[in-house]
Amino acid sequence: MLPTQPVPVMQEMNQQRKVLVIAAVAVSILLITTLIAITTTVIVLRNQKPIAPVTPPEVATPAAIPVPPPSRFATDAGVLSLREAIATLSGKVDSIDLFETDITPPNLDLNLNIAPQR
Amino acid sequence: MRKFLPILLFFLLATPVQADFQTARNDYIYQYNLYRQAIDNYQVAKSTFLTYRTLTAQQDAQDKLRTAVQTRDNVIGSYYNLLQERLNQTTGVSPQYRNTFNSIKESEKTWLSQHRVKIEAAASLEDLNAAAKEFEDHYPQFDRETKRAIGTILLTKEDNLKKETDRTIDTLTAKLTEIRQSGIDTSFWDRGLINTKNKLGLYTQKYTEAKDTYQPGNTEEPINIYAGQQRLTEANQYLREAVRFLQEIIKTIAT
Repeated sequence: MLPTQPVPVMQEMNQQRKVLVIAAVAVSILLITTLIAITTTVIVLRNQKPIAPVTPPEVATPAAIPVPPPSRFATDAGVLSLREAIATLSGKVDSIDLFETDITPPNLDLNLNIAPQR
Repeated sequence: MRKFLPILLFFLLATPVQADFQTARNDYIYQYNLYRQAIDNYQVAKSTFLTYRTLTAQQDAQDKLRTAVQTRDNVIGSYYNLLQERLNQTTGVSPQYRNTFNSIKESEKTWLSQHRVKIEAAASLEDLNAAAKEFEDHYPQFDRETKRAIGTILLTKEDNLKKETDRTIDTLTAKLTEIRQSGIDTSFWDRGLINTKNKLGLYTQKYTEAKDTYQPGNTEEPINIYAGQQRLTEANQYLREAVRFLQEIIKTIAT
Protein backbone atom coordinates (compact mmCIF):
# COMPACT_ATOMS: atom_id res chain seq x y z
CA MET A 1 0.00 0.00 0.00
CA LEU A 2 1.22 3.21 -1.12
CA PRO A 3 1.53 5.80 1.57
CA THR A 4 -0.78 8.68 1.26
CA GLN A 5 0.72 12.14 1.36
CA PRO A 6 0.34 13.15 5.03
CA VAL A 7 3.79 14.46 5.21
CA PRO A 8 3.21 17.94 3.65
CA VAL A 9 0.08 18.42 5.75
CA MET A 10 1.91 17.52 8.90
CA GLN A 11 4.77 19.77 8.02
CA GLU A 12 2.41 22.65 7.42
CA MET A 13 0.72 22.08 10.73
CA ASN A 14 4.03 21.96 12.52
CA GLN A 15 5.06 25.20 10.90
CA GLN A 16 1.80 26.92 11.91
CA ARG A 17 2.31 25.66 15.46
CA LYS A 18 5.82 27.09 15.51
CA VAL A 19 4.57 30.46 14.31
CA LEU A 20 1.89 30.44 16.98
CA VAL A 21 4.42 29.52 19.69
CA ILE A 22 6.78 32.28 18.57
CA ALA A 23 3.92 34.80 18.48
CA ALA A 24 2.75 33.68 21.90
CA VAL A 25 6.27 33.99 23.30
CA ALA A 26 6.67 37.48 21.75
CA VAL A 27 3.33 38.65 23.09
CA SER A 28 4.22 37.20 26.50
CA ILE A 29 7.56 39.04 26.52
CA LEU A 30 5.83 42.26 25.50
CA LEU A 31 3.25 41.86 28.24
CA ILE A 32 5.88 41.06 30.87
CA THR A 33 7.98 44.08 29.81
CA THR A 34 4.94 46.31 29.93
CA LEU A 35 4.01 44.98 33.37
CA ILE A 36 7.56 45.52 34.66
CA ALA A 37 7.57 49.07 33.26
CA ILE A 38 4.22 49.90 34.82
CA THR A 39 5.25 48.37 38.16
CA THR A 40 8.57 50.22 38.19
CA THR A 41 6.88 53.53 37.35
CA VAL A 42 4.31 53.01 40.08
CA ILE A 43 7.04 52.15 42.62
CA VAL A 44 9.16 55.14 41.61
CA LEU A 45 6.22 57.48 41.74
CA ARG A 46 5.23 56.12 45.16
CA ASN A 47 8.74 56.63 46.56
CA GLN A 48 9.08 60.17 45.10
CA LYS A 49 8.61 62.98 47.59
CA PRO A 50 5.94 65.42 46.63
CA ILE A 51 7.29 68.70 45.13
CA ALA A 52 6.32 71.67 47.20
CA PRO A 53 4.53 74.34 45.19
CA VAL A 54 6.81 77.27 44.29
CA THR A 55 5.61 80.40 45.91
CA PRO A 56 7.11 83.79 44.93
CA PRO A 57 9.08 85.54 47.72
CA GLU A 58 7.15 88.07 49.55
CA VAL A 59 8.33 91.59 48.81
CA ALA A 60 7.26 94.13 51.30
CA THR A 61 5.90 97.31 49.77
CA PRO A 62 8.28 100.11 50.71
CA ALA A 63 6.87 102.46 53.17
CA ALA A 64 6.33 105.96 51.86
CA ILE A 65 9.30 108.27 52.67
CA PRO A 66 8.01 110.89 54.97
CA VAL A 67 8.18 114.25 53.22
CA PRO A 68 8.93 116.95 55.72
CA PRO A 69 6.52 119.78 55.63
CA PRO A 70 7.90 122.74 53.68
CA SER A 71 9.68 125.36 55.70
CA ARG A 72 7.48 128.23 56.71
CA PHE A 73 10.20 130.49 55.27
CA ALA A 74 10.12 128.84 51.84
CA THR A 75 7.88 131.61 50.58
CA ASP A 76 9.07 134.37 52.90
CA ALA A 77 9.79 137.48 50.82
CA GLY A 78 12.83 138.41 52.91
CA VAL A 79 14.38 134.94 52.62
CA LEU A 80 13.67 134.76 48.89
CA SER A 81 15.27 138.14 48.24
CA LEU A 82 18.28 137.14 50.38
CA ARG A 83 18.58 133.92 48.41
CA GLU A 84 18.59 135.84 45.16
CA ALA A 85 21.06 138.42 46.49
CA ILE A 86 23.47 135.71 47.62
CA ALA A 87 23.21 133.89 44.28
CA THR A 88 24.03 137.15 42.47
CA LEU A 89 26.90 137.86 44.84
CA SER A 90 28.26 134.35 44.31
CA GLY A 91 28.25 134.88 40.56
CA LYS A 92 30.15 138.16 40.94
CA VAL A 93 32.74 136.65 43.31
CA ASP A 94 33.31 133.74 40.93
CA SER A 95 33.67 135.87 37.82
CA ILE A 96 35.76 138.80 39.09
CA ASP A 97 38.74 139.57 36.85
CA LEU A 98 41.75 140.17 39.07
CA PHE A 99 44.25 140.27 36.23
CA GLU A 100 42.80 143.03 34.03
CA THR A 101 44.89 142.14 31.01
CA ASP A 102 43.48 145.23 29.25
CA ILE A 103 45.59 147.45 31.49
CA THR A 104 48.73 145.35 31.86
CA PRO A 105 51.80 147.64 31.90
CA PRO A 106 53.48 148.00 28.49
CA ASN A 107 56.66 146.11 27.85
CA LEU A 108 59.11 148.90 27.00
CA ASP A 109 62.74 148.73 26.00
CA LEU A 110 64.66 150.72 28.59
CA ASN A 111 68.00 150.59 26.88
CA LEU A 112 67.61 152.68 23.74
CA ASN A 113 70.97 154.11 22.70
CA ILE A 114 73.55 153.89 19.97
CA ALA A 115 77.21 154.35 20.76
CA PRO A 116 78.40 157.17 18.44
CA GLN A 117 81.25 156.70 15.99
CA ARG A 118 84.67 157.62 17.38
CA MET B 1 7.52 157.28 28.53
CA ARG B 2 8.23 157.45 32.25
CA LYS B 3 8.82 153.70 32.20
CA PHE B 4 11.71 154.06 29.79
CA LEU B 5 13.26 157.07 31.46
CA PRO B 6 15.60 155.04 33.77
CA ILE B 7 16.74 152.91 30.82
CA LEU B 8 17.38 156.03 28.75
CA LEU B 9 19.30 157.61 31.61
CA PHE B 10 21.33 154.44 32.07
CA PHE B 11 22.43 154.50 28.44
CA LEU B 12 23.10 158.22 28.50
CA LEU B 13 25.23 157.96 31.63
CA ALA B 14 26.87 154.56 31.26
CA THR B 15 27.80 154.45 27.60
CA PRO B 16 30.24 157.40 27.51
CA VAL B 17 32.41 155.84 30.25
CA GLN B 18 32.66 152.58 28.34
CA ALA B 19 33.22 154.44 25.07
CA ASP B 20 35.93 156.62 26.67
CA PHE B 21 37.73 153.56 27.93
CA GLN B 22 37.47 151.85 24.56
CA THR B 23 38.73 154.96 22.79
CA ALA B 24 41.65 155.21 25.22
CA ARG B 25 42.39 151.52 24.74
CA ASN B 26 42.32 151.80 20.95
CA ASP B 27 44.67 154.77 21.11
CA TYR B 28 47.01 152.90 23.48
CA ILE B 29 47.09 149.85 21.20
CA TYR B 30 47.73 152.08 18.18
CA GLN B 31 50.61 153.87 19.96
CA TYR B 32 52.05 150.58 21.17
CA ASN B 33 52.00 149.14 17.63
CA LEU B 34 53.79 152.24 16.32
CA TYR B 35 56.36 151.81 19.09
CA ARG B 36 56.94 148.13 18.26
CA GLN B 37 57.42 149.03 14.60
CA ALA B 38 59.81 151.85 15.56
CA ILE B 39 61.81 149.50 17.79
CA ASP B 40 62.18 146.97 14.97
CA ASN B 41 63.38 149.72 12.60
CA TYR B 42 65.75 151.06 15.27
CA GLN B 43 67.31 147.67 15.84
CA VAL B 44 67.90 147.10 12.13
CA ALA B 45 69.36 150.61 11.67
CA LYS B 46 71.55 150.25 14.78
CA SER B 47 72.87 146.93 13.56
CA THR B 48 73.60 148.36 10.09
CA PHE B 49 75.38 151.34 11.59
CA LEU B 50 77.48 149.20 13.94
CA THR B 51 78.43 146.99 11.01
CA TYR B 52 79.26 149.59 8.36
CA ARG B 53 79.99 152.71 10.43
CA THR B 54 79.10 155.01 7.53
CA LEU B 55 77.73 158.50 7.95
CA THR B 56 74.57 157.56 6.07
CA ALA B 57 74.03 154.59 8.34
CA GLN B 58 74.65 156.82 11.37
CA GLN B 59 72.08 159.35 10.19
CA ASP B 60 69.55 156.59 9.57
CA ALA B 61 70.23 155.05 12.98
CA GLN B 62 69.86 158.46 14.62
CA ASP B 63 66.48 159.02 12.90
CA LYS B 64 65.26 155.60 13.88
CA LEU B 65 66.42 156.04 17.48
CA ARG B 66 64.62 159.40 17.64
CA THR B 67 61.38 157.81 16.40
CA ALA B 68 61.75 154.92 18.87
CA VAL B 69 62.25 157.28 21.82
CA GLN B 70 59.34 159.50 20.72
CA THR B 71 56.95 156.58 20.29
CA ARG B 72 58.03 155.22 23.68
CA ASP B 73 56.98 158.53 25.24
CA ASN B 74 53.67 158.35 23.38
CA VAL B 75 53.00 154.83 24.68
CA ILE B 76 53.42 155.97 28.27
CA GLY B 77 51.23 159.03 27.67
CA SER B 78 48.41 156.91 26.21
CA TYR B 79 48.85 154.35 29.00
CA TYR B 80 48.15 157.06 31.61
CA ASN B 81 44.97 157.96 29.69
CA LEU B 82 43.96 154.31 29.63
CA LEU B 83 44.42 153.95 33.39
CA GLN B 84 42.53 157.18 34.02
CA GLU B 85 39.56 155.87 32.04
CA ARG B 86 39.64 152.55 33.85
CA LEU B 87 39.71 154.39 37.19
CA ASN B 88 36.70 156.46 36.08
CA GLN B 89 34.91 153.30 34.99
CA THR B 90 35.56 151.33 38.18
CA THR B 91 32.79 151.68 40.72
CA GLY B 92 34.02 152.42 44.22
CA VAL B 93 37.24 154.25 43.36
CA SER B 94 37.19 157.39 45.46
CA PRO B 95 36.87 160.73 43.64
CA GLN B 96 39.93 161.88 45.60
CA TYR B 97 42.08 159.14 44.12
CA ARG B 98 40.70 159.84 40.63
CA ASN B 99 41.65 163.49 41.03
CA THR B 100 45.05 162.61 42.46
CA PHE B 101 45.76 160.31 39.54
CA ASN B 102 44.52 162.94 37.14
CA SER B 103 47.04 165.42 38.64
CA ILE B 104 49.80 162.81 38.40
CA LYS B 105 48.85 162.15 34.78
CA GLU B 106 48.91 165.85 33.90
CA SER B 107 52.26 166.27 35.63
CA GLU B 108 53.72 163.32 33.70
CA LYS B 109 52.28 164.62 30.45
CA THR B 110 54.04 167.92 31.09
CA TRP B 111 57.27 166.02 31.69
CA LEU B 112 56.71 164.01 28.49
CA SER B 113 56.03 167.11 26.39
CA GLN B 114 59.23 168.73 27.70
CA HIS B 115 61.05 165.51 26.98
CA ARG B 116 59.62 165.48 23.45
CA VAL B 117 61.12 168.93 22.86
CA LYS B 118 64.54 167.62 23.94
CA ILE B 119 64.24 164.63 21.63
CA GLU B 120 63.36 166.83 18.68
CA ALA B 121 66.14 169.26 19.52
CA ALA B 122 68.82 166.58 19.85
CA ALA B 123 71.12 166.99 16.86
CA SER B 124 73.66 164.31 17.68
CA LEU B 125 73.64 160.72 18.83
CA GLU B 126 75.09 161.79 22.20
CA ASP B 127 72.20 164.22 22.79
CA LEU B 128 69.67 161.65 21.66
CA ASN B 129 71.20 158.99 23.94
CA ALA B 130 71.05 161.48 26.82
CA ALA B 131 67.39 162.22 26.10
CA ALA B 132 66.62 158.50 25.94
CA LYS B 133 68.41 157.97 29.25
CA GLU B 134 66.31 160.69 30.88
CA PHE B 135 63.22 158.62 30.17
CA GLU B 136 64.89 155.50 31.54
CA ASP B 137 65.87 157.35 34.72
CA HIS B 138 62.33 158.64 35.10
CA TYR B 139 60.74 155.25 34.35
CA PRO B 140 60.70 153.91 37.96
CA GLN B 141 58.37 156.80 38.81
CA PHE B 142 56.07 155.96 35.87
CA ASP B 143 56.18 152.35 36.96
CA ARG B 144 55.20 153.05 40.58
CA GLU B 145 52.43 155.47 39.67
CA THR B 146 50.83 153.24 37.06
CA LYS B 147 51.13 150.06 39.11
CA ARG B 148 49.66 151.83 42.10
CA ALA B 149 46.69 152.79 39.90
CA ILE B 150 46.30 149.18 38.73
CA GLY B 151 46.45 148.08 42.37
CA THR B 152 43.78 150.61 43.31
CA ILE B 153 41.48 149.30 40.56
CA LEU B 154 41.93 145.67 41.59
CA LEU B 155 41.68 146.37 45.33
CA THR B 156 38.52 148.42 44.78
CA LYS B 157 36.87 145.70 42.74
CA GLU B 158 37.56 143.12 45.43
CA ASP B 159 36.54 145.52 48.19
CA ASN B 160 33.20 146.17 46.45
CA LEU B 161 32.41 142.47 46.72
CA LYS B 162 33.46 142.39 50.39
CA LYS B 163 31.16 145.33 51.14
CA GLU B 164 28.30 143.57 49.34
CA THR B 165 29.01 140.44 51.39
CA ASP B 166 28.96 142.47 54.61
CA ARG B 167 25.62 143.99 53.67
CA THR B 168 24.22 140.52 52.93
CA ILE B 169 25.46 139.26 56.30
CA ASP B 170 23.76 142.18 58.04
CA THR B 171 20.47 141.41 56.30
CA LEU B 172 20.81 137.71 57.11
CA THR B 173 21.60 138.45 60.75
CA ALA B 174 18.48 140.59 61.01
CA LYS B 175 16.43 137.81 59.43
CA LEU B 176 17.85 135.25 61.86
CA THR B 177 16.94 137.52 64.79
CA GLU B 178 13.39 137.68 63.43
CA ILE B 179 13.27 133.88 63.11
CA ARG B 180 14.69 133.41 66.63
CA GLN B 181 12.05 135.73 68.05
CA SER B 182 9.35 133.60 66.42
CA GLY B 183 10.52 130.73 68.66
CA ILE B 184 12.61 128.73 66.19
CA ASP B 185 16.04 127.44 67.18
CA THR B 186 18.59 129.23 64.97
CA SER B 187 21.78 127.86 66.55
CA PHE B 188 22.70 125.88 63.40
CA TRP B 189 22.49 128.96 61.22
CA ASP B 190 24.25 131.09 63.86
CA ARG B 191 27.19 128.68 63.74
CA GLY B 192 27.17 129.00 59.93
CA LEU B 193 27.39 132.76 60.28
CA ILE B 194 30.35 132.44 62.68
CA ASN B 195 32.13 130.24 60.10
CA THR B 196 31.39 132.80 57.41
CA LYS B 197 32.87 135.58 59.51
CA ASN B 198 35.96 133.47 60.22
CA LYS B 199 36.50 133.13 56.47
CA LEU B 200 36.10 136.87 56.10
CA GLY B 201 38.79 137.33 58.76
CA LEU B 202 41.18 135.30 56.60
CA TYR B 203 40.05 137.33 53.59
CA THR B 204 40.97 140.55 55.39
CA GLN B 205 44.49 139.25 56.13
CA LYS B 206 45.13 138.49 52.46
CA TYR B 207 43.52 141.72 51.32
CA THR B 208 45.78 143.71 53.66
CA GLU B 209 48.82 141.88 52.28
CA ALA B 210 47.70 142.76 48.74
CA LYS B 211 47.16 146.38 49.75
CA ASP B 212 50.63 146.54 51.29
CA THR B 213 52.05 145.18 48.04
CA TYR B 214 50.25 147.72 45.83
CA GLN B 215 50.60 150.66 48.20
CA PRO B 216 53.90 150.20 50.03
CA GLY B 217 54.75 152.60 52.84
CA ASN B 218 58.03 153.41 51.18
CA THR B 219 57.06 155.33 48.05
CA GLU B 220 60.40 154.55 46.39
CA GLU B 221 59.86 150.80 46.65
CA PRO B 222 59.04 149.08 43.33
CA ILE B 223 55.60 147.48 43.16
CA ASN B 224 55.38 143.80 42.36
CA ILE B 225 52.08 143.69 40.54
CA TYR B 226 52.01 139.89 40.22
CA ALA B 227 52.59 139.35 43.95
CA GLY B 228 49.67 141.70 44.61
CA GLN B 229 47.45 139.80 42.18
CA GLN B 230 48.44 136.55 43.90
CA ARG B 231 47.42 137.90 47.34
CA LEU B 232 44.16 139.23 45.93
CA THR B 233 43.38 135.87 44.33
CA GLU B 234 43.89 134.21 47.71
CA ALA B 235 41.64 136.80 49.35
CA ASN B 236 39.00 136.17 46.68
CA GLN B 237 39.16 132.45 47.41
CA TYR B 238 38.27 133.11 51.08
CA LEU B 239 35.46 135.40 49.96
CA ARG B 240 34.11 132.64 47.73
CA GLU B 241 34.12 130.20 50.65
CA ALA B 242 32.32 132.74 52.84
CA VAL B 243 29.64 133.21 50.17
CA ARG B 244 29.26 129.42 49.87
CA PHE B 245 28.51 129.30 53.62
CA LEU B 246 25.88 132.00 53.17
CA GLN B 247 24.33 130.00 50.35
CA GLU B 248 24.14 126.91 52.57
CA ILE B 249 22.53 128.90 55.39
CA ILE B 250 19.87 130.43 53.19
CA LYS B 251 19.23 127.07 51.51
CA THR B 252 18.54 125.35 54.83
CA ILE B 253 16.34 128.22 55.99
CA ALA B 254 14.22 128.06 52.84
CA THR B 255 13.81 124.27 52.64
